[in-house]
Amino acid sequence: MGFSVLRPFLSFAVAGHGYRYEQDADKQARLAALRQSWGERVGRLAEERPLCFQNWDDWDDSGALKPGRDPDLGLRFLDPEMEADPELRHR
Amino acid sequence: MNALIVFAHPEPASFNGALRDTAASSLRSGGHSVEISDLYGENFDPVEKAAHYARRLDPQQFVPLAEQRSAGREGTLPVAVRREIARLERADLVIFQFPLWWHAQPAILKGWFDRVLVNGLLYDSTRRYGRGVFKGKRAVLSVTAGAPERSFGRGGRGGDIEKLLWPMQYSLH
Repeated sequence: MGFSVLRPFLSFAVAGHGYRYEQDADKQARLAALRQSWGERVGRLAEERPLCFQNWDDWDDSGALKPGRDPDLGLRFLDPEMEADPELRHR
Repeated sequence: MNALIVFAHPEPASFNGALRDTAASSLRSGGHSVEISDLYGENFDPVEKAAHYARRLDPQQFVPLAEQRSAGREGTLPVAVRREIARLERADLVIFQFPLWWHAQPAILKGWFDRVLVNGLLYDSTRRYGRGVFKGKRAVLSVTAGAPERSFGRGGRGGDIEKLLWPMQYSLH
């Protein structure tokens, strides 16, 4: 679609249906910290570097990935080093 | 900047709702405008079907993408679809706020992709990825999951989060 896709914001262990991974007070504090972190990050989204995915130059006329191109682009957003370094992203 | 938050949780008072409100508040305090597409609240129908198309290209056989192309060309797309497209066109940033259900977005949000990203109007075989119509706009997923982070690593019990989110992120790319 053409969007520049940014690293997702992930909130884990928010289960509210009976599962407990920690004491309630700890959970509430963690959720509050997540909200604060998200609020701060949202203000910076316009400056963030987008994730890298395959693009038209990576495919041949049949749509197959050209030799030597990275098949895992867009699959390593949890690795900040990988996303930050163009050389690593296009190894 | 104009931001659109596509909100896909049935409970406004949920943690997803809190994250929606946090994002909206942060953006507005930064001087940005915010629009919210509340899929459950607005009763968005996620099911692509013949009944959405009053003027059928082919009344005998429903071919979804052909009907989308025809309705987009003729200006007869369903009202809800036109509303969502207008929201996308106004937005510089789109935030998708949703819980992870069965290793994916809720069906209502998958259906939003099925119906709103109209073939022929918003994409075709050449207008995608780096040549897509939304080039220059930004998108980000804000996802909640019930289980702890450690279970969403590679090979983890909850599934590899990098793989689980790839279909949505790649579709937007």
